[in-house]
Amino acid sequence: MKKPTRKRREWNARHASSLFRRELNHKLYLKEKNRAGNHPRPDAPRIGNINYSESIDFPRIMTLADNFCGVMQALHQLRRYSNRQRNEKAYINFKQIEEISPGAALVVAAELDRLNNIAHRRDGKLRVLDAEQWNDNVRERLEGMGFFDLLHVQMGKTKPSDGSGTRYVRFRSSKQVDGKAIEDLRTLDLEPFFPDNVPNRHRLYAAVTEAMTNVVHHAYQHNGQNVMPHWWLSASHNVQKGEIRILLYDQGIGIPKTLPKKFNDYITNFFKFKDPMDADLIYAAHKLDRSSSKKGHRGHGLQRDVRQYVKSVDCMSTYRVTSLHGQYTWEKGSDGCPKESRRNYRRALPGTLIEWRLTLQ
Amino acid sequence: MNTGVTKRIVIATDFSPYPAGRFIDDGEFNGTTFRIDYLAPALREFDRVEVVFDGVAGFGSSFLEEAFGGLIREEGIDLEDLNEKLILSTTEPDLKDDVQLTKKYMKLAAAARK
Repeated sequence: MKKPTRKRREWNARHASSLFRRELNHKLYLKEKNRAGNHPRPDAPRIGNINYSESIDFPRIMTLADNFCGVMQALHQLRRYSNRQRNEKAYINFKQIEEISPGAALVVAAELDRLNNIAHRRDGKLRVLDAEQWNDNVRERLEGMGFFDLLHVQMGKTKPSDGSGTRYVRFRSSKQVDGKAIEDLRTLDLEPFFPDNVPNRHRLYAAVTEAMTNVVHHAYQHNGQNVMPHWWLSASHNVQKGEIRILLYDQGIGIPKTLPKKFNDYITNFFKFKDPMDADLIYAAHKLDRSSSKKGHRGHGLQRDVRQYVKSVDCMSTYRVTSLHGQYTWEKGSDGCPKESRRNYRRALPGTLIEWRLTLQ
Repeated sequence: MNTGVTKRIVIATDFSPYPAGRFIDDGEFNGTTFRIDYLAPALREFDRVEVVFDGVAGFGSSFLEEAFGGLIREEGIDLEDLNEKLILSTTEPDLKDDVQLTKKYMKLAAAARK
């Protein structure tokens, strides 16, 4: 065998040392990982006699309009925890929340509902430890939305005390299209507070049931583990401001991913989106009249029914779809002129949230 | 076949006041079930069929397309026969658009079949 040169011997020595360091680092990493699995992190809270593996802290401002990324960061942490197979306890911290919007509340309620229902978490139900330390308005609004029913805790009757008079409606959920759910929401939860009733009830019914149909047909087409293929429906209303918001959320794959791939070129050519982002794809889904089913008689619901409701009413109205990183808004102001806008976020919403908002006064 | 007899189907009372969804898996009161259990048998048995839209909470386009467009696409009934036999009626002004939309879905289904 040929004797290695000095240069080669030096290279071998360096390479061996580097390999040894990498191996050592990997062993240390595995050791650390195992330790983290069995023991709480140093910053993990201890309440009573229970050590929690982590604390999931929801931000002070829990509104999608003002702090989308902050809400999503906490939500993704909660999702990572709920998907983990290890049997460990997490502390979900709501104490810091000072303001919460109905959209953010519904998204979090849906995630807690999923956490309560997925197979490997069924034995470890959620418990409330410190609701008395939560902000009063936040607690009352969450209670109105049905949070404490999810947590199997009775907290007394909801009384909005912040002076704004905003009430949150108990959420409903199902994995099928349920027309009675939107009728009950309208007749039992909204119309008793509005003497002139919710306008154009037939179109509202069409919008919401068609959005539910889209969830059932498209949102959960690639079912993975731990998926709860449901929609969650809720609303909020403010009688003083004459404002009604109806919200439908699903945790599916998102509208941008349900658009048929063969239309990507069409979208690029027709809309002149060189590199379409999620908001552009949501916008395109409303314009194209196409469905991932690739059948001509399908794929019309978003345009003809879901968005059509806010177009059909004679008041200020907003229709907003947030799906993955994108958001598409159609709104009609006091001048009656329609406006469309698109926005992309750094973090993704898991699923799709549709909001119909009316200002009746 | 009952000749000269008109069968009246009131969707809200005979089927459901909450019709919604396209396929059987979508929910209990979907368009496919309405077509298979109510519309198609009535069209086979009676000379004329009147479908009354009054009293429902509303209609999504999936329900209407599957129930009425499906008569042409899935049941193989001609549009001319439907125009002759099928009467769609409503007294509620808000539902008149849905009647027009249903007629449009039947025409589109017939055009797609050609």
